[in-house]
Amino acid sequence: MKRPEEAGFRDYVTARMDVLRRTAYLLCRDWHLADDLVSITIGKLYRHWPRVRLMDHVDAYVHRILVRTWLDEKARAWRREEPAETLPEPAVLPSDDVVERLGLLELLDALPPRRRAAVVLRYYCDLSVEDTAEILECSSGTVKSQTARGLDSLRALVVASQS
Amino acid sequence: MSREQFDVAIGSVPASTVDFDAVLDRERRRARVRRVAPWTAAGAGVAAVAVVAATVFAPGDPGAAAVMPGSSPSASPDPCAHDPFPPQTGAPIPETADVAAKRLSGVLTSAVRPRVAAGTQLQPHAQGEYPKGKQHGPLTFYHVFSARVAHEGACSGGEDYFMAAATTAGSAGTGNVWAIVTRLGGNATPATECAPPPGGSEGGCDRTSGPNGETIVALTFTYPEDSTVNRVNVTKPDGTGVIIEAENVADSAKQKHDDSPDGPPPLSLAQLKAVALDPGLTLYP
Repeated sequence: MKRPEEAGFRDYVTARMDVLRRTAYLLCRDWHLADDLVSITIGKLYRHWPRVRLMDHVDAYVHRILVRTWLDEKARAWRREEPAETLPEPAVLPSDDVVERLGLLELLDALPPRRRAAVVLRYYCDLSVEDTAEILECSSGTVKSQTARGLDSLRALVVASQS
Repeated sequence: MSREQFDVAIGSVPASTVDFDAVLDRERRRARVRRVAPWTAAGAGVAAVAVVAATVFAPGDPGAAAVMPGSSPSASPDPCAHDPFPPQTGAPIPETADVAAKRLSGVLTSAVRPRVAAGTQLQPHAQGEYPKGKQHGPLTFYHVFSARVAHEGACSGGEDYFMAAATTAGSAGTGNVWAIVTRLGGNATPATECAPPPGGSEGGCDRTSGPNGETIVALTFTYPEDSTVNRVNVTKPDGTGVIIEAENVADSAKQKHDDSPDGPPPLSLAQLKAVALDPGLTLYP
């Protein structure tokens, strides 16, 4: 990589390091793993930076690397998720009293990985439905329905916590 | 829902352990190696593709034009050339996948059944559904395979191993057992060194050698007030890798589950070691 390109890469990563770490944490709920995911992500980004820096949606590209790295990590180490057009139901749907007791992060954690990723990408990273669908390799309709359902649960928590 | 609400929920952020300069150094080295020795890194992947192309496509086959031997690696960077998983190093297995799966299922079942508590039933496990819609019986191996596919800047797939699982139900409670048998390398290769327990759990790990030169990494960890996991990784000198795990919940310790753990996992570490070291649990009979 040429020196000016590397300088641009350093500036980009430095500026977004905090939000990348927070996004990774929202996905995995473990700061050590989150930092590992970010390290892997910026390593992969470096390899393609000369081309990526010219893209219109660099942030969406970086979040795609991050989310896929996380999904790969989960699939490799523990469960082996199969990509599916229809995202799975959460193992446990939180009831109202559970919603009141649990924090936002715990509720987020209760969502299945791809739905959790959809919520984080849409409402924390502020990505479009189309960008989120592209990252999760599913249709825009699937993203809309899954984030709506995830959001319903999260809204319920917020209302409960504010009342 | 806003970013601010998430940030409030996250709270204070600990100091970063991301070593940006180390990542840069590593990637610079990687780029340097690829430039200086293309046949030992990325070039090896290209060479493998070239060999496959030469083998698969008959002369005159129009498909041969899809991958031309000798094509420049720099023309189209292959993300699978630097896949996060090491390549499988074991020799091709001598049996067909179906034959191997059937044989391994018999070996595993014979090894597990007498070791679980008397009266324990072995039932199908959700993990035994592969591919989607095809449910395999308890402790019945199936071949998990997916080709490596290069996406833009990422590599997915590359699975190639045998897996079996069962839910256990008995007087001591419910649990589950699952096993992987694989050629060494790849994304399911067993651990050969101890590592810290998964985040949120507490446990210990022990690395030993087996009677026939096997490397054994046995670990047990518990999620506070939740499930306990016993896992044994065995690397056999013949090139077979075995991972076998027992949990005291019916589905998976890593998922939310309805059943409360009320007993130990269905197999102890010693029992799992004995199962994994079974000479029949090999891909090279």
